[in-house]
Amino acid sequence: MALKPDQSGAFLASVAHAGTAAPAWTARDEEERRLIADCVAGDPEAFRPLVVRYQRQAFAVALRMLGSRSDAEDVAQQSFIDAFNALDRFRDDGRPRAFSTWLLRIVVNRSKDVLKSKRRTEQPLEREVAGGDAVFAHDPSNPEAHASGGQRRRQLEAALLAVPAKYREVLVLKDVEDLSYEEIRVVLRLPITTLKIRVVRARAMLRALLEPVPGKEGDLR
Amino acid sequence: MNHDDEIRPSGASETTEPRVSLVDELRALRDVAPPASLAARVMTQVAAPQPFSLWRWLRRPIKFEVRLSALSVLAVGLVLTVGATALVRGARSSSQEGLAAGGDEVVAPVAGAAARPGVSFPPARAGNEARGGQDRPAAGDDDGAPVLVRFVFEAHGARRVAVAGSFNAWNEQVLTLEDGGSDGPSAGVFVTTVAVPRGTHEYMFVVDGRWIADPLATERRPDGFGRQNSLLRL
Repeated sequence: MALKPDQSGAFLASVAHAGTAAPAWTARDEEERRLIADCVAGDPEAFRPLVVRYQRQAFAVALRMLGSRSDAEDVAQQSFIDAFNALDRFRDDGRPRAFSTWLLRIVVNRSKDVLKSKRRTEQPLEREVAGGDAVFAHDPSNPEAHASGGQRRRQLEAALLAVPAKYREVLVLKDVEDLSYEEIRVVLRLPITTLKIRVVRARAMLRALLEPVPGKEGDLR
Repeated sequence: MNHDDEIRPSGASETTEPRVSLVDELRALRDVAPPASLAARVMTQVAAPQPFSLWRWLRRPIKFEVRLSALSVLAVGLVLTVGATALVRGARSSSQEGLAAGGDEVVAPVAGAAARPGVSFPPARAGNEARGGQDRPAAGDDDGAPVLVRFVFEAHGARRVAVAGSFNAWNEQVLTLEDGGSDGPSAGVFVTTVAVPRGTHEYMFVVDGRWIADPLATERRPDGFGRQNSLLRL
């Protein structure tokens, strides 16, 4: 059964308007339940539509958590395989978007494992986005650089990676992936109040990283 | 748009450039293309034969389809009904056979008003006269290993309930039944379990000094004084 990959975009847009209200069970959820049942019954090909549908999201979350495309690719791939191997234990309990939140939970946990592993081995992350203090701040003396969307995006990516992981994960899920608080609650298993506080603090951290540092402007050039 | 989320790019004119939302900028990071080979690599690994796992095999659901005509449904229903009836009958007959055989560990609830809903204190028997059964031979008809028998008597408001019979020489002071409690569903339900030798026995309940035949006993035997004792066959 084939699914359009871009369906996930429409899905996420609807979540954005849902806020914290519980979304309704949809034909999409029903279809995913059927695909999972087929997988559990021994038809691995039924997993393909789920991979196609959620590969962007899984990869993007891992990338924003880790900053490395190769690490993100490994995490996304292994997360799908973990999910497939655990499908017989998956229970949607009638919750809408149960599979996507369950998959994202695996992705986030695997990403955290990689971060811990890198920290433990004192191996710096091989980030493919620009890093370093200088790129976090705008350079007012260089309007061409500011005008460049690519430059600004790299600044944002680097700043996001400088935010501590427990704040970064909520920023990635809430502001980048546009999940509802209810979905993030399921992914991270944290109370919604805690999530809201973390989002506010994480945005403040990010904002501080992006604003110019007085007295360091000369160094930024 | 939430103004808390807004930032102004440095160097931008307040009047000429629109305020940029931090959230909007973050949302733009969502546009990431996954590696083209990701799905293919996942599916290659997923489709690869996995080592046999007995646990997984046992948990694997079995999918099958059954198509039945209306006639078939009727036939299946009939077979199931007949089968269920036969099972119930078989269970009942084996239970009765078990009671008749009187296995050593069988607890046979042979007596008891509690089994009869709505029964409260049974009507009092006249007088406290001597029981005819006391003069009868105490022993049962057969000898053998004792059988555990549970005596139950529902007597709301009674202070003492005992059981006496040929198995204890009609001594109403020995086998006292215990009250189920002061309130709750077991209140007023007196119970005791006694090891009774195999054979046929006569017995009576003694409720606050009054001798009362078991209202649920299936058999009774005249006591020779114009009344009847309850009969227990083991």
